[in-house]
Amino acid sequence: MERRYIASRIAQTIITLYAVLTLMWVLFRLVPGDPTAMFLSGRLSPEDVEAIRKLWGLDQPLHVQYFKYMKNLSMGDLGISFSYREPVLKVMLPALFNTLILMIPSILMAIVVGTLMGTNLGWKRGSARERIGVVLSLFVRSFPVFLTGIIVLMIFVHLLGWFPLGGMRTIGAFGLSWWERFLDVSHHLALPFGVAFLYYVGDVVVISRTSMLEMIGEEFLQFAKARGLSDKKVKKIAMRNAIIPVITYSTILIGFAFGGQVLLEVVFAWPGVGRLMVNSVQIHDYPVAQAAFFLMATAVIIANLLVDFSYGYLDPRISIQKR
Amino acid sequence: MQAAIENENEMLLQVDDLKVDYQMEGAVGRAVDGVSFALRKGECIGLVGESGSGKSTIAKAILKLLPSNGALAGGRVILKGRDISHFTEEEMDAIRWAEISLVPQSAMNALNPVQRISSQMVETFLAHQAKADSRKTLLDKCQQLFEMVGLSRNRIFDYPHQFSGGMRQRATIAMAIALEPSVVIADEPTTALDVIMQAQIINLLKSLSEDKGVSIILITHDISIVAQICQRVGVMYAGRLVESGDILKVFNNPFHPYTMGLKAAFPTIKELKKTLISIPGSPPLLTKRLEGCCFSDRCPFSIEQCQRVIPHTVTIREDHYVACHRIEYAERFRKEIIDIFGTRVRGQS
Amino acid sequence: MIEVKDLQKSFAVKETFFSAFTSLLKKKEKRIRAVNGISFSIHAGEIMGVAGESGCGKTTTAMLLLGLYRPSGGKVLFEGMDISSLKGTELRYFRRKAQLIFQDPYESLNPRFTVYRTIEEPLIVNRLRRKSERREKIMKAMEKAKLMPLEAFCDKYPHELSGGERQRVCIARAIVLEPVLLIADEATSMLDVSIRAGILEIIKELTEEMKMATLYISHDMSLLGSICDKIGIMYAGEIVEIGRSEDIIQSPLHPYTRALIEAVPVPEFRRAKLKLKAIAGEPPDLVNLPRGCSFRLRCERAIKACRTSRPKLFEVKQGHFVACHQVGD
Repeated sequence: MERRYIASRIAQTIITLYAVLTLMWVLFRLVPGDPTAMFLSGRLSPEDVEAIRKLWGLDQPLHVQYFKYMKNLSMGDLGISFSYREPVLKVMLPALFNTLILMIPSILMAIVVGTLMGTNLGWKRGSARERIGVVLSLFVRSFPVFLTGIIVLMIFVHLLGWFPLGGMRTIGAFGLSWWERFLDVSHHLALPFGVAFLYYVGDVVVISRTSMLEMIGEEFLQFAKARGLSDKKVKKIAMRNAIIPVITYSTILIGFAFGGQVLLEVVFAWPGVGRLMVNSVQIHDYPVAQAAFFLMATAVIIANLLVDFSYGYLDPRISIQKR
Repeated sequence: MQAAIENENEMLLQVDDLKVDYQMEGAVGRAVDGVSFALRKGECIGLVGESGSGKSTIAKAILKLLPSNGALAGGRVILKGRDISHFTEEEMDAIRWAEISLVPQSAMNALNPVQRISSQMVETFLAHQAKADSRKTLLDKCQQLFEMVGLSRNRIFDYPHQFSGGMRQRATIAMAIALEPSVVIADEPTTALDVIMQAQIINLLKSLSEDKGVSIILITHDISIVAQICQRVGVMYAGRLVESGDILKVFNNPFHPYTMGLKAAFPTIKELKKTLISIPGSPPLLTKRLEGCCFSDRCPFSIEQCQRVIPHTVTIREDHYVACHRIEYAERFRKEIIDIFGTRVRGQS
Repeated sequence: MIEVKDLQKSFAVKETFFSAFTSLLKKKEKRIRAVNGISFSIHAGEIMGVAGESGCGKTTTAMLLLGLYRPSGGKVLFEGMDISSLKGTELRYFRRKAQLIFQDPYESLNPRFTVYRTIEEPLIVNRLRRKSERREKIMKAMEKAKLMPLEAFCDKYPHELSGGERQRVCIARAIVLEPVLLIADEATSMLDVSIRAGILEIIKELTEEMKMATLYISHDMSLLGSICDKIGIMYAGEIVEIGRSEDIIQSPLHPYTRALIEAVPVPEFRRAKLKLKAIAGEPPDLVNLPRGCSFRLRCERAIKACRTSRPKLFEVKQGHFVACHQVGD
């Protein structure tokens, strides 16, 4: 791939990120409601309010606030949470970790399983297996997460009692070894993981199947067959070409994963970014909400960048931008 | 070109009474209807015909690469004495490319866009070798092939899109001769190319046939390309072989009105004032069951018998076969067809 | 009559975000020079052929003639008016009088329109309100394009027609507005050989009868030779030779014209086969055209002058122009 192309894409990405940041900052200032409102329970005198505002720099003109924010951000300082009274990073990181251990495995598995299923279904066009597979994945996909979540909870928790109701750890369990802690978290993780997997796998199946269907009848597959390559080899060539759109989609999925799945986290009481984000919006905790949104936007934008680069690798026709 | 009567030993490939059906929205269409021809060793034969005449279907049927709605409805394909028309997929995998290879119409679409040409060539070798040579030996072989078709050896690591149309077609020709197959089928190999590239590819195919002794079946709609390369020819119309045999006999003294028409329809740069003819009408639909001669609807000389009875293929003289009811009037027809269908594209000057 | 004077068209090279900055700094822009200063004229009732390899600027020329591209230099004069300066009614008049027939009759027809509706479309677009008047014009156009009997074709849809019939519908649609300029871009290359001559005949007859100036684009020299009054040979965006068809084909002067003609296979059948003459190499990169003659890299007879100066078209004999240092002098 051309170095110039990479450089220009990275420059583009940085500019986009900056624009998103600014836009986000502006939007949050436009939202009605003042963060100090959450303390105005009458216990605070107007002077105290003013003092708090001053402390947080809210009394300064907007452009000063903006430049300060940008300056701090460029040094990795996301500010201090209004509600937790702690650096935003310290609030965010654990939540992000929790989200990622739920989302990354389920999305990765959805991608791998979904691609294999989808391309196989596509290759067997017209068979009964294909029709059942497609209907099933559409069915799974069209179910809202909270509904699947509640059904799963009813069956596996209330009826069978195999899994805990929610959360990430058993409350009140102390003094566990790391192995026991791992088992405990895995036990809690199983159900949300399964539900997330089901939710994401449907799309991947449908996309990879369609992409594989487009391969059928491609002349280069017929030519490969004419060259005496076995059916297995020909299918492999088809899959190699068919996964290009799947990879695009998958990378963006992973980008979104950083924002968490709000509904899923709510149903399973999973302490992730999604819940944190919703919470902080409700209580006007700008710095946290802003950081959460920014995290999500960054992840999606960087995922897009990676898609473009991976395209260059996956499809040599695209990387050549000589002229 | 009738298969059965020839000496079996010198025959490389015989196609005998081949029939291919397509399922088309409830109806059955016969794309190839009883075609027989034979290819001798070292020979180049042409199959000419217009779109829908079934010429490309024959190539697919020989290689057993018919689409899922197509099927062999009869006939045999005999390669070196073995009937391969009933071979299983696995048996065919061994025949394909090692015995019969293909130069496709559009080299752009035939090459995998996301794989280097070197690796596509190497994988072809690997598919046919039980005990594989080292990758280096194979690559070296491929590079020699590249040079043989007039490409520079280090371009082998390029992707297909980095090649021009003519270069891509050279690359597929290099692939087609890689395993030294008995038969190379070239399916409209120059249709997608400009004149100069076309001339280069024609010369390349000709030198393969004349110098290297490669046996070629050339499928094309262009009789002037056939004239450059082939020794024998089969003229196809609506799935049937209407006239076939030695190229000089067939085209210098055509007996079938369609062959006469085809010849008179081609402009030639040597004779700008040639009156070009245009035959009104179009070939019958595939799904239509033909009672008589397939050309009778458009034939200006058709009589009642032509509508009713399918003409048998008869031998006019050695190596010249025609399926027409009215061969005795051929000489008269050759003149009349120009008077009947002549246009005034080049009338005045 | 249509006249082209020193026509040029170049396209900006697709820029990446980054290279846009660097080229701003260098103040030098890379451009694809598709058409590079060509001049010719087509008279009423005349067919001019344009030949050349793909990428030589044939189709760009057609687009410029139709006013679909704005020239980067030079002009196209239509009945004495520069078409890039046309506005309002004049522009509408020009659009009516300049028509195009495409290569692919399968894709250039709307599958949901009947033949009648297809030919009616340009009349509706050009606000011919009276239905009876429209009907009369459509019938006349169909008759001219030999879509007969009329009743049999009017209500048919494209999928019910053969390739030749479809192309005749395209012709009828193109001539229904009685154009002055007709451009046919490889109009028969998708059709079966046995009916090509019929389509060519219609184009020929209509050109003479309706006094149109017709531009026929093709890379098939034998076809151009048989239908055109004159032929222009294009190479890398320039006309390297232009003249009467007979002169071009029977006594070509430019080495490229010769190469094009010698590469054409001839339907002559003999036992001992002759090798076609096929020059090596490919057309140059249109962004970085070589200095001097753009054909010199493929030319066997290139001399020193070919490297240093670009040959200009000059008249060898009446109506026969060539741009080559080796000819004349």
